[in-house]
Amino acid sequence: MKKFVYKISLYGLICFICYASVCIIANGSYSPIYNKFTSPKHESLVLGTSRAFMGINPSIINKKLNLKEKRVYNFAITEVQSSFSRVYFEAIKCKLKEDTKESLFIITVDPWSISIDTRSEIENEKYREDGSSLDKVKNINQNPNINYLIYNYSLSWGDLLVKKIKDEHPKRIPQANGWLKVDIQYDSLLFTKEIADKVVFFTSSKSINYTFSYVRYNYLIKIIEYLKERGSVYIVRIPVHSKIKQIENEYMPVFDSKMNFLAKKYNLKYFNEFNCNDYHYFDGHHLIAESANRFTSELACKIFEDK
Amino acid sequence: MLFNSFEFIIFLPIVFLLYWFVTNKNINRQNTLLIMASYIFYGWWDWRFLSLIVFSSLVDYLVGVQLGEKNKPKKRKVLLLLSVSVNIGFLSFFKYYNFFAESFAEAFTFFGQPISVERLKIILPVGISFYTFQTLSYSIDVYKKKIAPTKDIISFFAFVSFFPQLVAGPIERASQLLPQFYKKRNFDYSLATDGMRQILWGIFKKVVIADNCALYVNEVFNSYQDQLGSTLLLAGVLFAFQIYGDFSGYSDIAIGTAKLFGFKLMKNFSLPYFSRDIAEFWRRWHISLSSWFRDYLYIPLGGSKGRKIKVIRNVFVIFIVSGFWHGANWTFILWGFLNAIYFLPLLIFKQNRKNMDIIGVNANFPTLKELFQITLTFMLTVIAWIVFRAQSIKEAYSYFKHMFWENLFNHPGQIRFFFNELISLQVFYFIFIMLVFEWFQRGKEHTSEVSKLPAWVRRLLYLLVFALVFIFGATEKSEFIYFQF
Repeated sequence: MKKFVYKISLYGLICFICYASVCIIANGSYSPIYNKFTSPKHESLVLGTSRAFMGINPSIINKKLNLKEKRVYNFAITEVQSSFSRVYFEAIKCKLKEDTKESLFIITVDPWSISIDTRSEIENEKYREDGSSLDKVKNINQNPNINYLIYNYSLSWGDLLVKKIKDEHPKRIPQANGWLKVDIQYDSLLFTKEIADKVVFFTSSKSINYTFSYVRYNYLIKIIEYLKERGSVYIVRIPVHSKIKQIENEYMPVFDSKMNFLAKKYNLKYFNEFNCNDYHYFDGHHLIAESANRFTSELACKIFEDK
Repeated sequence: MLFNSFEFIIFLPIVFLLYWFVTNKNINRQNTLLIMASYIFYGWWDWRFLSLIVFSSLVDYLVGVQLGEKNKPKKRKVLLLLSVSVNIGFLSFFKYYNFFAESFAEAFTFFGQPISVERLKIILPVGISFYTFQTLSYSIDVYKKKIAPTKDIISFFAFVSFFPQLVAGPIERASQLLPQFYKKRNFDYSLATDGMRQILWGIFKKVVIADNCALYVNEVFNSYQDQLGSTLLLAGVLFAFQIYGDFSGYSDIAIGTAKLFGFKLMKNFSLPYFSRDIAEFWRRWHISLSSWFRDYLYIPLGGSKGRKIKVIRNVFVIFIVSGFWHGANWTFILWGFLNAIYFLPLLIFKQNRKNMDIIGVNANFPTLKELFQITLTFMLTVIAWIVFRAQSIKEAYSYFKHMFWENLFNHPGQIRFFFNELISLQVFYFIFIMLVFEWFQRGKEHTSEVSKLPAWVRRLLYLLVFALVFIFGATEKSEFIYFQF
């Protein structure tokens, strides 16, 4: 018996050392959204889905608007986790500092973030964010976030270690300000193919199976109302490739008018007048780093002029 | 709590140490500790369902005691009926109420008389399909006087709630497991180390094989209309390995854990994907369930005795009921029906008991003929698994339609998930490793039975398996598939 306990303890210790070392080195470099769960509370936020996650670099906004104390943090994640919903609303409240006042909030919107996928979601019953890591991890300001690593990290822990050792240059580099830098050079041939695939996907699948969600729309309103009490709110529609834009406009022709209605009702600005041909998208709707910086710069100018 | 969870890693050593260091002197204390640990384990999902298992255990215990005292056939039948009603009643309500209500309503609608029925928000208690069958087998065996009823209530409650096999089997027979609770268990080093090996191998199958397959399978099944036929076929193949890795992995962990406490559970899987025909497959897949249905349904119906048409009827009943046991959905019934269709030719031509021995018993490799038989049997199961995995008959039909009509012979498409990350198909390397290992261990009691190898080889294997789990184990936090049954 003692021999058994001794041997098992030894093996257990080896396992513990391996997993503990991962907890120490896990810093988001190889797990794109881990930083969302480890960053401290902030006063100003960028919100939305993966388009904002990759498309808005808060450092440029902070510099342009000279935000020293209320620096903007990019808290956009993915369409699964951070479409407008109860889950995202609770997470936003958790990520904001308690006494936030006179801050800046950029809420990025698109038709999909106020829609549900009818194949897997049921209005008022079942949503894609249910059971997601953002739903399950209540403390999203802890570093390291053991709860996330143990219960919610999708891939293998050893994968984190191996990638660290190999020190591969990942194409998507999470930044400390929450922005996911897509470090890809513009490649016309590759991008054209990716965009074509995405157009097929959006046309044959997304626009057929998605439908407007009143619940998500109402949560967008709740988030606006909540943030209005704490600072300036801007609604932004991030540019996408013209073909994707066309599909979105056909899917939800009233989208811009809905956003304009909200902007008017809550006395906000809705920025959607961006020339989509000015930017490069690696898959039709996510900006590469150089374009994200240019777009953020243009957005920052608009906010600056408004202030 | 799941076996592959942080809570279980804390729970198991505590129970183990208490069991062998605190309660080991007294059998009642050992059994009582097991009951408490099992209820904590089960209640971790939802404490409300403890009342069901306690009630079910109490009813069957009392029925057993009464059956031991009553000799009149009518009274004995009433007692048996009570046990069956309680167990099947719970199962029917929690698992099948909404299914029957909706099917009933659909049938009326089909005939032009639409009715609406109240759909209840019923949560399915974890493991109910398993423990109700386990306790039912006790009542039936006592009724048939195959075993003596027990008056040891602690042993009986421990038998019903025994946590390693409580929520997903193996479904144990009272004649095999209950007597093990009557004797004090003494620590057996070789049994415990064998148990740890089996646990490690089970974890490998679950997190390296099953969970990695799940990443690909889930993405494909969620968007099957957009995929190539070859991709859909590949997902079907991976699902076959996912469900095998998941379920047999769980069984290995359950059996291995039981060994840590000095118990021997029955084998639940015996290399089913090396089967040469469907009959052999069903002798090797979920053995505890198929033998349960054989002994308590097939044989009472007449089994393989009597006229051919009756035997065929019995076979169809078994497979369809077995399918239905898996869940309240027409897809499971269709899956069972499909397996019955596969079985039928073997039955008609009396080939269903042809391959009873271990494949390649005197050879290192299968023959070409055996390889062909294995592949054919495997592909038949893949077709059936696609039906099993689909959410509805309509989805299954649509899946097959896309599979056979959309570029079945093209190279499978790349599947990406969030952040455009490509889902790697390196899982095929691990499946290959698993199959090779299982092949060369096929004569052993279980795949991880390596006690005869030199110590340094064993340790190397442990480290290799652990490294694979650590580096490649997808921890998507998917529950074991069979928990939903």
